[in-house]
Amino acid sequence: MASSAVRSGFWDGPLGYAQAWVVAFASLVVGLGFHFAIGYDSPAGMGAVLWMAWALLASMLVIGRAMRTSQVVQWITGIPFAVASTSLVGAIALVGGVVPQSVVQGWGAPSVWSAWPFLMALFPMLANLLGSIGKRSWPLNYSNVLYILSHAGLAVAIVGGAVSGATLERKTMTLFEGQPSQLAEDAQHRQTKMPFTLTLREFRMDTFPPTLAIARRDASAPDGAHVVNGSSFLKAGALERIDGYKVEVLEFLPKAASVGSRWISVPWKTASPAARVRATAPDGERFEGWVSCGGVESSGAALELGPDVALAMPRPRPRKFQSSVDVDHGGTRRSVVVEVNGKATVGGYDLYQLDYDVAMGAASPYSVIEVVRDRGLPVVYLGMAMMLAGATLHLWHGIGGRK
Amino acid sequence: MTAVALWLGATAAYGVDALSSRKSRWALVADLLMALGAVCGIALIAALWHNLGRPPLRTLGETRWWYAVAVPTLGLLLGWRFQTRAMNALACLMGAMFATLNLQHPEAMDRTLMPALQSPWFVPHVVVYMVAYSALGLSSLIAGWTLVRSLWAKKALSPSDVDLPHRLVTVGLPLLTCGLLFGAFWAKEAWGHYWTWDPKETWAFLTWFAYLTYLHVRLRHSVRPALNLGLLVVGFATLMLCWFGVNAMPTAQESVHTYTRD
Ligand code: HEM
Repeated sequence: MASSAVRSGFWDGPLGYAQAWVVAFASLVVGLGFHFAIGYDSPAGMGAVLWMAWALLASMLVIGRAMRTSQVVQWITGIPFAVASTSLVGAIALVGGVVPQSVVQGWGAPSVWSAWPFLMALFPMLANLLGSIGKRSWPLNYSNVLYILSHAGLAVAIVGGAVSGATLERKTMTLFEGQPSQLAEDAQHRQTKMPFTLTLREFRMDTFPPTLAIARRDASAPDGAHVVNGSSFLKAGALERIDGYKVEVLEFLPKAASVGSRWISVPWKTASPAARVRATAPDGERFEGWVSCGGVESSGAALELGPDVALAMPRPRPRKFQSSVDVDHGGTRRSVVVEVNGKATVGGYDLYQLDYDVAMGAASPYSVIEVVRDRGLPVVYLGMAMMLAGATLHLWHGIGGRK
Repeated sequence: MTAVALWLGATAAYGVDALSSRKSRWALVADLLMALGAVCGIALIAALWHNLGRPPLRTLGETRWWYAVAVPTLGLLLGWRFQTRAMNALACLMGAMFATLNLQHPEAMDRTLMPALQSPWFVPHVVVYMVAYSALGLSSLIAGWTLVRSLWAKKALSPSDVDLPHRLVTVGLPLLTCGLLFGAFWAKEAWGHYWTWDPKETWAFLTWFAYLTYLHVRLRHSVRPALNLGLLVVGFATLMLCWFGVNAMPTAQESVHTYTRD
């Protein structure tokens, strides 16, 4: 009897942080309960709970408006509740930021972000967010519109994210040069047929011009050598100082093959660059010879500068990965170019350059294209645009120094 | 490289300024030196950009230069806007510290820029972030300093002690939001999805949330300066972890960003 009196006292009094923390903590407990009771293997069970949660959350929009004078609704849509519920979400995100995924999987969840405790921790936060949006939805004065832009923007983006999460199609297609393919594979290696056929015409990898580096044997270094990189791109006549050595490029062949101890220019696409260089040590001793990073056809060459020191040419860094692809979509044919940071769109799917045979470099016989369809994207972008507008206005006030 | 020499001059100027900004008759001289330092810093970045043939925003060292330049520049501009010199000395010290750090550990120049970074979003994303970090960094530095001073002098804090750091947050937090959103747009273009809870993204989210928490607590409890200032310090700790610490976390190996690996 006594304890229930204390209890009701706790919930009857002015509702504040203490009660908000209890609710946040309770959501965590419920999340843990679902973690063990429902788990992650039953999409139907998970779906049912999530739909119910979304329905409750949507009703918060109305409740926040209609019952805005009620003490309880004031509390749920107020700042203490916001602080407690976002802190909990932050705390779980912190776990996700520190604990590797493999460990989380050991606990039974696919990842922190789809784990029940995280999903349930979002619930009070979204209840607060949506309730307060309802509360502030009218009158449409400036302060409320600004409020709606940042808060509803975030809510819309999260809803869009949920739609994405539920409907996202993200598959890969491995294309070999000249071979038409319609098959895509998802993360679980299940194959599906796409509504279009792709044929890789050519995979291209452009690189930056090569540079030189001095490597010293060093057992304590990660790769057994301490490397000092030069910075200038190779060309005949280039002169630079690397790690105390004066290095001069006497001859530079962008595409070369070795013949005995010499290198000659060749026209093959995949040939490696080579350079004849002269290095002058700090004590004045001179070394001259060929260096090359090597490639598919030839192994590399380095110039020995002493028992534990050598001048070498690291593999040039990639500048561009690009696949030219022929598309056959319901009988209409066209060609598209897919590159990193340059997607193509086919039949509602976005195509991204994902991978290639790293060992073969430019000579990679295949290219991996990622195909993505995300129906939540327009919603997410709408939310992000609202947040951007809100942030711009907030920035304006911040700089203007007015409230 | 001549730019580095220029910067040393600017650093010296910042040092003189930091010493002298207390005395009011020196304040104008100090302002002038600070402005000169800022100009040198901007020239340095321009020179770096030119020499590398790409925006110098790729490595931690390069972003540190932006930070070293942006902190004093922003301190000066916002100080002028807000009619206060209270943050100038700290801004100078911070700029000088970051510049010295960079001079102590010169990085080998690398002129290459991997394909994933060759995006129109690259420059706005990183620059907005660096300016946001500068405003928030200054804010938290002032907050920490104010806290320490009040503990030392055993003097109670007054709500007006939070004014300046708070105004810096009202500039920095919207910029942080923009940086985060630009990052999401870019990720969609480069990797096919706008948010993947990559460790870097997770920490960016945590930083954002930490400052949001500060903002909302302050909205409700503007009369609790110690709480407000303390939260700002927490926010900055998160920011530093996000910027420099992520590579050292146990989660660091999981980046899905294939093309960012060398
Ligand atoms: C997108 C980032 C956010 C920004 C820029 C932001 C900014 C603000 C600002 C400026 C206010 C005061 C506005 C006014 O009273 O007119 C406010 C209030 C509030 N915020 Fe946020 N906020 C953000 C995210 C959130 C989140 C994630 C939550 C909780 C889940 C939240 C919950 C609240 C609540 C409950 C209020 C008080 C509303 C009221 O009682 O009228 N906010 N926020």
